Amino acid sequence: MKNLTTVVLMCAVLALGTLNSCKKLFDNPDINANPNAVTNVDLQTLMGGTLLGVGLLHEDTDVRIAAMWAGQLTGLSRAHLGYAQYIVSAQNFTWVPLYPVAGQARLMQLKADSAGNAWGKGIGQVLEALVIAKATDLYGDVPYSQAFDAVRYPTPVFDKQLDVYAALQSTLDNAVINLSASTGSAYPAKDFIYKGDVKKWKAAANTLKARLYLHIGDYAQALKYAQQGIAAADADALIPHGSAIGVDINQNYDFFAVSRIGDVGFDGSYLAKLMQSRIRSANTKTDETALYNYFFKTGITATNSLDGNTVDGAFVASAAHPLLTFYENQLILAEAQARLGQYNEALAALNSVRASLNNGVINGRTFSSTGRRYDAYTLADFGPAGLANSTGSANLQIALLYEIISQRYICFLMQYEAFNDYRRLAGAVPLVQLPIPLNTGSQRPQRFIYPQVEINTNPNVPKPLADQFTKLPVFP
Amino acid sequence: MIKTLLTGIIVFFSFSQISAQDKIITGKVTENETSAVLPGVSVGVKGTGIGAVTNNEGKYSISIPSSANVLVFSQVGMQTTEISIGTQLNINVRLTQDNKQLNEVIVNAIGIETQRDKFASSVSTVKGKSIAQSGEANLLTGMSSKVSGVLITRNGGDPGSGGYIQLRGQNTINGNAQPLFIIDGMPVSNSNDNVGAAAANGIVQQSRINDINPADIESVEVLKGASAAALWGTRAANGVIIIKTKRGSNTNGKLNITYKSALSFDRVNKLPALQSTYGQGSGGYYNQGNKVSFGDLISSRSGGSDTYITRPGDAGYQGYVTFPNGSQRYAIPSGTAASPHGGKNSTDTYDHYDDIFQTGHFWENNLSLSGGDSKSTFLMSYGNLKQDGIAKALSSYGRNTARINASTQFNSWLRGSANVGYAKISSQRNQEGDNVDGLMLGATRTPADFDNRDYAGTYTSITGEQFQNAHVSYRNPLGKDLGTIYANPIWNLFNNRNSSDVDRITGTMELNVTPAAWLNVTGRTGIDNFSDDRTERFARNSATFLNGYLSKNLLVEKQFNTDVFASANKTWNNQFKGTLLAGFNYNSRRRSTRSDAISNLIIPTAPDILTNALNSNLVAGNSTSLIRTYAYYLQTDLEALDMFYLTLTGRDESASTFGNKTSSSFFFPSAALAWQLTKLKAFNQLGFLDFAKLRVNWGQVGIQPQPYQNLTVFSPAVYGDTFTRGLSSTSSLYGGGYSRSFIEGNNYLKPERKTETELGLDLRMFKSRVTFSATVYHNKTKDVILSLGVPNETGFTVRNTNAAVLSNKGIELDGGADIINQNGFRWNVSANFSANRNKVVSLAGASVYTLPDAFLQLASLIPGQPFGVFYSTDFLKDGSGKYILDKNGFPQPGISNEIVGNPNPKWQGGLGTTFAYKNLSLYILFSRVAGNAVFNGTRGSLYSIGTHGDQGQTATAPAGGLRDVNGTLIPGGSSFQGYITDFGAGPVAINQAWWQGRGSASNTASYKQFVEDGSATRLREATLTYTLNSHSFQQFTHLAAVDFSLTGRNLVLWTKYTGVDPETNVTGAGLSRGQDWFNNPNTRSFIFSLQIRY
Repeated sequence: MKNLTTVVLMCAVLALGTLNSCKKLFDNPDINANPNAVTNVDLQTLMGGTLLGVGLLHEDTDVRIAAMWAGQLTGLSRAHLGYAQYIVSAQNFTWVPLYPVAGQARLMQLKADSAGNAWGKGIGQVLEALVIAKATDLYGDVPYSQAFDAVRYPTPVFDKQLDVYAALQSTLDNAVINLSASTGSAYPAKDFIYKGDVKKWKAAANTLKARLYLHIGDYAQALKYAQQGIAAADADALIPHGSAIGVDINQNYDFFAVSRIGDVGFDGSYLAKLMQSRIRSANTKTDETALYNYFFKTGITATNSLDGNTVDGAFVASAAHPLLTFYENQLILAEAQARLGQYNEALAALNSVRASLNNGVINGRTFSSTGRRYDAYTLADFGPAGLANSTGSANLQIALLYEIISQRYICFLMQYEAFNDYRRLAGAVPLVQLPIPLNTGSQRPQRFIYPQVEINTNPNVPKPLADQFTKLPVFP
Repeated sequence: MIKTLLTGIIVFFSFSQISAQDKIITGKVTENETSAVLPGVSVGVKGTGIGAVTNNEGKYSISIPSSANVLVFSQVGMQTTEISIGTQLNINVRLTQDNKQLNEVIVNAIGIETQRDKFASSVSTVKGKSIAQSGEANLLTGMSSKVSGVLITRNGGDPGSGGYIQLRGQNTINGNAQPLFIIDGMPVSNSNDNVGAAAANGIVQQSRINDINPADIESVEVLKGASAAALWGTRAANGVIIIKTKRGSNTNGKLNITYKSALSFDRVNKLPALQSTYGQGSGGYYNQGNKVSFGDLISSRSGGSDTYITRPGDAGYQGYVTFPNGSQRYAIPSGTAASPHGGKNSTDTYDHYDDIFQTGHFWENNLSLSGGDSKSTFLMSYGNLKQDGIAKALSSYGRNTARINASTQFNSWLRGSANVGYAKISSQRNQEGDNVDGLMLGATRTPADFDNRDYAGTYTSITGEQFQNAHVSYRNPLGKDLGTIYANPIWNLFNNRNSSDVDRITGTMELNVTPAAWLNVTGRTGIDNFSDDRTERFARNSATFLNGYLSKNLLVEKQFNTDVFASANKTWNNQFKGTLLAGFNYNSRRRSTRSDAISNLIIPTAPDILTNALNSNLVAGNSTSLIRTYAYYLQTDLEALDMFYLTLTGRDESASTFGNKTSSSFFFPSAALAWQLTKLKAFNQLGFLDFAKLRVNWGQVGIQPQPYQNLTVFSPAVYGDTFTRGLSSTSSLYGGGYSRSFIEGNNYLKPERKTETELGLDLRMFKSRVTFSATVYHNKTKDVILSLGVPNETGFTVRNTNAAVLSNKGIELDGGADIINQNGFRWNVSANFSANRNKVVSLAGASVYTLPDAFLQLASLIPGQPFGVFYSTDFLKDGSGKYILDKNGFPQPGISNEIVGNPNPKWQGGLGTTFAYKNLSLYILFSRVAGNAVFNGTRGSLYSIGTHGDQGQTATAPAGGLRDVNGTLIPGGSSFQGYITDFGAGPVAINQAWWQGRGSASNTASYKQFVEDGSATRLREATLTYTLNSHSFQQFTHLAAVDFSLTGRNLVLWTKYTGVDPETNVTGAGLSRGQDWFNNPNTRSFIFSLQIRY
């Protein structure tokens, strides 16, 4: 019985001890907070992360599919052979990281608001517009007015594409106003695109506005904003790249030379064909040899294959990738002016691009001077027998536009704006199109299919589900 | 059967006359295997009522009549043994354990022994012996098909690869849906992590529960029902598996030594078929280095050696590669319309499987020393397993285990025991899966006419520059200094290393205090600590990392668990007895990982040092987590009228992983009633029925949230893409920006709660020669924590929420019969059957949830459907479900998902039989898993490459020609690689155009066409055992016995599945099941073993 008393006493002490200390068991830094992550960051750190997301979205699989559908790139193997044959389904597409990145751009604006930082807000608005513009250009009607507010709108409605365009113009207008404020913080150390130069951000916002006006055929507005857009090649918005795999290498280099070697190429692509036609041609003012060799190289992935130049050209690991460029701005200007009948001005804009190409400048890098020739055109070059009138059109406007859209197609190497042009030019007046052949079948690809995740989670996805051959409102 | 029984009865009565007593026989009874003395054994004279019982030292003394000639020794749980008396006066007997689950002792959830016949929940027991004898090197797969209701799937055929275990269907989506494993009262880790570059699916990881040596296991008990598991609260929703390790026993001080050695030989058991009719190339023309095998007809080549382009300056000259044997390879001219073979003359083809696979083997040695006296017992064991896999290099598994189990009764009221196990595991595994360095991917995609055996050499370029250590593969046949795209699998075997080194210590210490006869207090504390040090090394020139890659990952888990409980017995009278148990549990789990990786190695051949790269090529990371729980629990056992046994339990648990907006304490109750019907007078009429027990029970268990799901976090920005390796803000170029997690935190998470009701019946008939047990159950898990997909435009992709409701219902049947047991010959049969139906009842309004580890988005949850159905594409269909054919007569690519298969088996069963004659026995086990769909992505992907076995056919277009999918007309009379089929609009050609387009799993046209029936029947095990323990042998050798056995494992497989063994899964032990994408194959084995007992 003595034993019993001892044990009971011991148990009682133990039980009391544990009862008292139990609550304290959860008092540990690794329990009260997540030891692996922070729960808040400042605006500049968030801006750095958002910029990177925006950058990736301009060189991801969506962009490569768009390039294949625009005839720039050829699908040769595995999944990309299917994409090139327009075999896609809802499960091939995703809005990750697209919308979360746009959500971060919105969060930047909220943080900037609370700090009264107009510049930071303006940059957030430009980034938001860049991302949503991509969404609507590829998918048409997309959520925007109710996006980024999970509490109020757990399943946002899909806004009509033209409404999204209007909303983007308004977002960009606000961006320009904010970027014009007399004071603010633009964080030069974290802004790896413009080093905190708000003037450049403002110009980029205007170029984007001009692009969106061009899409809807409002050439006067496109002209107006392009005139306030990116005014020199050193103000291009470019994502820099480095040499570390999985960290900072150019994503096309990654795709072509590291992760999916030989899955795509440029053999038989319309882009290669178009550039070949501008080498040793009747157009003696133009020699595309150097740029062709900068874009492509033979025999990298297989004997005699025409591959992206990942050795010493456009697709090396450290090649920067464009978001918005001086060339695009000038070619918007040129096309808008040509369509508005301002041929001399259009020609000047086109020649400004040629002058820069003649210096070997493209997307922040320089290509070889061997076989590089871009002499200034005159209007006479677009006469019925003019050297730059490659289709022999009797109409100066058509001839000039044809050269402008050709130049756009070349400059938009691996940018989804080439796919926008592919669809836009089928409806723009006057009708001028490049003869880009279909890869298969008889239908032109017109859009991406809404992601399966979206179908699974948001009942507002437009029904019936539009297939890849259904035209978008903005490119009728 | 009945005849045998009648014979037995007649024999029994014919000897029942009592004769005069005139002789005394004495002796000792021990257990055969452990030499433990057996008290309480009944010793009887056959045919008489004369009997005696062994004392505490196992000794007996019996006086018998001179007419008696047979003694019968019997004890519950042991095989009844008859001995001819003859002239002997001293008869020592060894009794062998009876594997039938009669009135035996089982261990309940907190480690207390209890009688099965009084236990109300369904518990399946697997003896350690039968796991050891299965021929599997690992515990998990060793349990396959031995009990009902337990589905075990190996993750792959690599040595040491883990397995997946599922009890009664899937109950959760949160984290790992595996049962909780308890070894000697201590919960232990069974993690199966994939970290580092292998995370995608490159390496099959181990299951940590396999660290335990099967030879150390006394028994494994599977607590399938919630009521049995309720005392483990929020960790028990997927069931609890209780492992009891071997102990020493009272041998009166004698030392038992057992040494066992086993040697196994393993071969690949099943591989996808490959074609060897058409060569490398496309469109019917040979093309060296081409991606695909739609080339020329190999048999129509001229034969002899190939034509090389050897002269620099000639068109097509590309330099050459020099192999170690001095031979050289140059470019071969491509085929053309005029000459489809080009310069390819050789008609040789190569077996790409033979190149990489060998006969694997393992050698296992186990030594154990045990013994004890009436106060103390001990057991020490050492086990060593050394395995070489079926892949020819860098595929191995080594396991060294040591264990000490000891206990002692210090005095009348204090008992102490300690069980400590140490394991050291080292393994090397090969890459597999959807991975250009994967073994099967490279092997199966290689054209039949390319010899992979020349896998490395020196490339001399057009300019004469030489590159050493070139990686030569079918897409880079000259070993040029660039990516090889798909690795040569042999190069891979010898160059890419993936190792894992685990050190693990698991142990418990226990004190039992018995202050009074009616009171017992137990304190038990234990640890389970392990570290897993992994290295992944991709050599320079590997397909995935052209400039080499090294990653070092360190994973550490530490678990600490303490239980203190007191139990009090009270007997009111003969009719009513009861036990009350109250306890406290504290558990703490800390886990941390550290991972560092470098790419672009400066010196490709340097040792595994992380300084061998520029800083810009270093990626580092770490993570840590801490989970604590404490709980109070109570268990009441009541016995009434010697036939009713009621158990009530309750556990109040607090866990640290709940958000601060919800209570952190939750209560889990259970109730179970067992009723021994045969105690009723009414059942006395049924003479054949020895025992019947009805079981009814109900219980709740839960699952706690994963840690840190309560808050939205920000991390250094990393963005990925499906086909590239993405960007990270840790580059100095990007200045270290952060991004918001795509996962929205939830501070309101509660535990998931599973409620289960179970009804069962256990029967023993015909003197317990026939046993039968049936259980039906229904469970429902509510508040299942779901990483619910949300519309991405909210800015998030996922919100963790208590959303889903899942349910399972099923039936489990177990039966056994001793069909013949006479004259030393025994034949028994045992069988188990189980069927489970699970259903996703609701998803909180979401229509589809794709499982996080779904491959190609296949495995999904859809309300009203079974768990993890394949939700993917099929060809476009009209309203009546018929394919809409295009103008050429082909089905067209689908654009969105539908349900295309169900990976859950309809039922599974095992059928085992033993034939034994004296010391020779043969055990055979068949098993079947039926009705489960498997996605054969390997076939679907190979179609686009042209190497699959289905693609070796040649067809000839009929008069008028045939259209292929591109609308190209194949003229009548011309032949092509492929076949003719009819989708409903007339005959069409299946050829390269189809296989590289809609007929492939490389795009989304239709994944359904690659979903196959994975039902499989297998001869899982056949074991022939002979025990040498005759008296003369024992006298001569001083050994107790020598056992010889020969086991065949996985000998025959019957399945319609066309890929590897369908018991496979590319994402390992994850939630998504039935996914095959270039998985490494499974094995069949022969094992020879020898056991010496002293």
